[in-house]
Amino acid sequence: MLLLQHLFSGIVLGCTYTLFSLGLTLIYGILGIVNYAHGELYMFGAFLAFYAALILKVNYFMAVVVATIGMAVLGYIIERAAFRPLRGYDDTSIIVATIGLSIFMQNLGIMIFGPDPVRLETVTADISVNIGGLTVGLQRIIVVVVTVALIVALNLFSQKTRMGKAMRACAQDLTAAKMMGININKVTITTTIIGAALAGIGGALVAPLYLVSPVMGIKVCTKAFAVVILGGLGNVPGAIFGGFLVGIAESITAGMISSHLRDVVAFAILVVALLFKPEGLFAKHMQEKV
Amino acid sequence: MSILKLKDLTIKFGGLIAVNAVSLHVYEKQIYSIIGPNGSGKTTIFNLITGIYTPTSGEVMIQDEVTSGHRPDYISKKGVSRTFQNIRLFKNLSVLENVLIGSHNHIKTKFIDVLLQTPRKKTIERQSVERARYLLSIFDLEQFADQRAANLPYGPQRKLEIVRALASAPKLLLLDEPAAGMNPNETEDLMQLIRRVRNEFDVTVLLVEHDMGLVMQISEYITVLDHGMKIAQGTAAEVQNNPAVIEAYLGKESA
Amino acid sequence: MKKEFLVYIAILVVALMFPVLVDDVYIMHTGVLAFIYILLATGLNLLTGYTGQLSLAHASFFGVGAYTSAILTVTYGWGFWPAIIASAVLAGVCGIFLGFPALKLKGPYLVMSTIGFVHITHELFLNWVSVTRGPMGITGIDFPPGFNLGEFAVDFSNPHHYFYLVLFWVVIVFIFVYSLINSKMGRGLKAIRENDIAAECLGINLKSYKLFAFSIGALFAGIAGSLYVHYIGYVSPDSFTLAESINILVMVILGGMGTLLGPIFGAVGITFLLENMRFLAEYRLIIYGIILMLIMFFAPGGLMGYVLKFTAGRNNEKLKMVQEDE
Repeated sequence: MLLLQHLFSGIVLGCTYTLFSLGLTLIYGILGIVNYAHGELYMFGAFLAFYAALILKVNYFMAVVVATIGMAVLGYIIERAAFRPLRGYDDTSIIVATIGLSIFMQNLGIMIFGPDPVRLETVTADISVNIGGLTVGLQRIIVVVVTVALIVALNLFSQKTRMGKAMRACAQDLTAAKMMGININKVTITTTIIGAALAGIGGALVAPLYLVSPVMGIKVCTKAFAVVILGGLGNVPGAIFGGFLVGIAESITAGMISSHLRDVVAFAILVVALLFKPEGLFAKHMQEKV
Repeated sequence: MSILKLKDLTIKFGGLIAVNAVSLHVYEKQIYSIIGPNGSGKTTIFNLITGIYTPTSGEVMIQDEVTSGHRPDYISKKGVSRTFQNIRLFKNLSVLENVLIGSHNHIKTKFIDVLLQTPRKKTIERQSVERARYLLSIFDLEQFADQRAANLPYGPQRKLEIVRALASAPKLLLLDEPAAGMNPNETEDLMQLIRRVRNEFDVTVLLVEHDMGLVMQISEYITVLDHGMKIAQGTAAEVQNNPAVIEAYLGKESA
Repeated sequence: MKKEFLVYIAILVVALMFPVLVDDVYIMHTGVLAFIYILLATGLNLLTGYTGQLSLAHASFFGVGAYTSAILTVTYGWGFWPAIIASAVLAGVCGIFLGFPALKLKGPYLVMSTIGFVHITHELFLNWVSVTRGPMGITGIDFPPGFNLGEFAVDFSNPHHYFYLVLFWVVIVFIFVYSLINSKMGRGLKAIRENDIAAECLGINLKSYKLFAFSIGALFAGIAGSLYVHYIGYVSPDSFTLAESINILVMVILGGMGTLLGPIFGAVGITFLLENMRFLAEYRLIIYGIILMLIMFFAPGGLMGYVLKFTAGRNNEKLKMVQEDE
């Protein structure tokens, strides 16, 4: 029963990693940018939900919507102001530039919101549901349901809509997609907006569960890096699998073995996986063309 | 004397058989060409010979030693050197440095020589630079010696790759589409150079090339691949009249 | 005499004069830290700038060096000199330890794995309480023993004096790197950075060259770690985080990757810049982040790279001079 409890916590944790990593992996897959500042979108999303509830006095659902829209707008700004000038740059410049963006946004967060952690109080956080002897908080169920719904929606979007198809084409081969008349700028903006909105939703969803602070993003971000590498950069199913794998492994290790190991689990899995499959667990045979 | 033997060389990528049981025999000082339509596995064979890929089955023998399974640096030390279809120069280094790196295994300075700036180091360094400049002069690249390799025009970049490969004093030189993107004059020039290099440096040349004019004039022996399999071999005249070859290149109706 | 040697000697003279000309203890203190960062940046430059292996794990080796020295001197009563050597060696071994899994990795995969490595070592410093004393850290680390230079008593608790100890190591490391880069081994490292497949096909053993770069880069960081703890007097896990790695990387990039002097200017520049920006208080890191982005947008090769672009052919001149020397 205890194991089941940890398993469920792991799934909830996995949901946040997944929402986070999906954006990260999409942005890398299409823009070729490792967005080190993704954690700050997650953090801003959480704070936006918190302040929407506090100042605008909206209900939790509306707070999540506000956070999502806010981060979508921020995503648009970041794409235009930071990602587009970086197009075609080498990996090192891109990583350092997004690290700069992350430092900037994180400290902007500290200045605006203050360094102290807060918690978003909601009704859902206090209600517990009993499922077959397992006591689970309603908020945690909401996290899981919303995550699953978003994964399904994202899948439908990429399979059924024109923009979704264009995105998949760009992920395959940007140059070819361009020659087929796909508007690259539209695709990169849409991708960044989706990625940012997913991070924002992630932040807003965990705001009632964990502490909301300016450094919350950077912590999740480094683990999400492990997740996307594990799943293979740019690989969407890989990010989902990796997210849940890391979430569950982390939760069970922390609960059953030692909570000190909580933050190491993701990287330990990563190092072991990389030793055997350097391109991630899900990469197809990727041999550089010689 | 044979310098290179491929025995039933096969490599699979997932379900795709890129090279299927290819055997061939290259003799010392020969100019030997491998031709075939796009995707027929020519470059893959180069990658197998130089150790970038490990064959699924079959083997590569260089001077009667099985080298398949070894890393490229080992195979390079056995006297195999190559150029690349998609040029792989050391772009941010000077042309001269590119050539010096080519002769990496022949420069015998030790770290301690450099630390103490010994006369030995200076002598060796001067000799290597002289040799590099001589090689560059053969290919008419001497005037570029101090430029960044990336700043060279396309044609000279292709030539520089050949010079760099030659700097390692190979016994077997693999040229992967050296004439790609060159105009007919440059191609003619290149052909003379390949012959000169073969004679002056006693090197065997294995060539992958699409320019049929060049291939037919220069090659002493030709192997034709299609879909990873050897479909013909022989002299230029033999290959040109082989119906299987014509079919592979032009489609069934023309045969 | 080569022109570049004159530049090096001029810089050395300025460094030697620095403690003489500067009275202010705080500026001197910053100077000591800046020169410790030169060691770190030079090591990372060897790995990232010359060999092209982008790593954010450098703080790990800094930490390994720092803890090794702290533990050996405080817990086991070793002297400073054996401890600094042991720190260098152990950090170098850890470099190889990271190098092995990193051999197969490139680009973002490599960077992210090195980020993982820095987290693992940080957790190790934090949680291996029996050895590292956990979050409390280790205190009471002595300054290296002083000695008498004729009439003059050298006292390393004085930053003005400690500076020369750090400078001594900087000079050793610089001579080492200079020789390395101008040997065929250095050319091999650059070849790997430029195009690893071509390098391997020309007979360069990727594995041993990369492991060499990882271990030497880490070894310098180990020396820096030892010098750092013997100066500061204590060590705690929070000095060796990803943020520190980023800091060192920024020094290398801003100074100019793959140049000998770049890391020196980068380390000194960034250390003094960050110290002097303290009056900006909470705006400091916000501005730092913006500066970082702007520099990547407009001068991706770093400030030195930006300058060198317009004074093309720096490598080639060296070779020309080799010939003219004779």
